[in-house]
Amino acid sequence: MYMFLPFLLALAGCASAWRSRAGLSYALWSATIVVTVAWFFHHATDPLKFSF
Amino acid sequence: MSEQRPVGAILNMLGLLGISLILTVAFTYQLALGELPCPLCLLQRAGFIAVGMGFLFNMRLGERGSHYAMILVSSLVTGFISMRQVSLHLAPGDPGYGSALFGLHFYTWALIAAIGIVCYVALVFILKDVTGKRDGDAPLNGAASNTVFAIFALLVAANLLSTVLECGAGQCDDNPVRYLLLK
Repeated sequence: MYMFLPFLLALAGCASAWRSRAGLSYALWSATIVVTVAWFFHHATDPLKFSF
Repeated sequence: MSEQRPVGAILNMLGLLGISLILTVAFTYQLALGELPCPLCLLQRAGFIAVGMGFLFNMRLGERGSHYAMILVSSLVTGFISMRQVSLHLAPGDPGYGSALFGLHFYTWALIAAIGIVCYVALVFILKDVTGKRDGDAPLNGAASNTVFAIFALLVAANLLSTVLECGAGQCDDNPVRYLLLK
């Protein structure tokens, strides 16, 4: 689990946007979001003591 | 002949500056007070960076509805992550994680900011309609937009470097106290 991966993907997304490569930028943004959500589920394991 | 800059372009630049400000405040606390970000804190930063990418795409690739959708999705993700952390420290007597700014911890501010970004996008749509400029479609290439772009990219790079130093090639400790690669 590479904690730095979302930041690396985002930086690559910025670089591709700078070069006006729209398709690659969108793919890298999507990858940033997917990895961020996946890492979140990896870390959010403790049950919360709430009832609704 | 000078062409008037579309209101959407200015608001996107301001949006990206706002995201850069959020990242700068978080980074200042990390460097000045030596408070290392926890995994959920880092993911909130990643969420804000994804929000910033939406503003950035509007500036560099032209203003599109899909870019605003990216901003909204990223805000939702950031909001859910911060809501989880708020919930973890909600119990009475829990001191919370890290320093407080104006009485609120950073994850609470992150939740407020995520909601604020959704409101900001709504405001952008309203202002674009009010000013009658609905299709600010051209990418921005001026000095001001390039400077805002550079500041944001620098902050993303700084976060990448700091996360590598803090966590190495693995997952971070839940309560990190030192940089893994600077031991």
